[in-house]
Amino acid sequence: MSGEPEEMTRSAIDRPGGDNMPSAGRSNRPPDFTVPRAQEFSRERPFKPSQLARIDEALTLASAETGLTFSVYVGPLGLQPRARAEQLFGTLAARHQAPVLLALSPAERKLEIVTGGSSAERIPNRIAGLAALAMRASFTSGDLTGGIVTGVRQLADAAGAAI
Amino acid sequence: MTVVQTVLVFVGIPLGVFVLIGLAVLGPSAARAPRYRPGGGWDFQPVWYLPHPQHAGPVSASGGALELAGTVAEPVSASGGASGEW
Repeated sequence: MSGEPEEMTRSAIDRPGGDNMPSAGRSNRPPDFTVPRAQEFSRERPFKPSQLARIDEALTLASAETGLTFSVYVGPLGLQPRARAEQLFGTLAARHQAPVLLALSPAERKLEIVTGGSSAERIPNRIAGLAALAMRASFTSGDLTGGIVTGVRQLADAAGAAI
Repeated sequence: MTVVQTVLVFVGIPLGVFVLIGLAVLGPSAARAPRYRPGGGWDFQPVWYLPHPQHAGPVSASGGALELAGTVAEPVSASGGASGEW
């Protein structure tokens, strides 16, 4: 990774509260996309480098294997988490083919898995529900990273290899 | 031994031992990053992660900024999934 793309993806995380990053007061603005990478822990960065590496590996492997775009959002989902998650999914779908969104709000203890189009065909709702249950087990014990990794892997296994 | 030496040996050394033990017990957890506990707060900025562009296969074969800012001709709408809470 080098050059401009990395700078662009990094900027969203480096400027919390910036134009492309949502804050509590501007929750309608969709967050920009970032790629997980090793970085120092801070209040703006909830995951440690080792945890980010696990999330990155799970997302990248799952997406490469299935041809779907797996994406994880960790942040507030508001009073209507499903509607908010589908709104985020719309942002994702506008930029990427066959998206799968895992949206979780640790503060509200809500989890939403959103599929659509070809990803909905390849991941039945029953499988998504099972993945949500497995993630829930990890989240209940406080293991956010483990839950995310488990959920992504289960969904990727269900979707199968890219055709 | 003078009074000062007596106080140092019989009060100072035990106190030092207690302080050392206290630091050894409380130090590591105080230095560690705060851990998520269900029901606890979460005052971080929202984050949104995507797969690594260079390894993400056909989805981001175009690579780079174009891919991150790219558009899909016919975006799909949300039609499935699951909800949960913990």
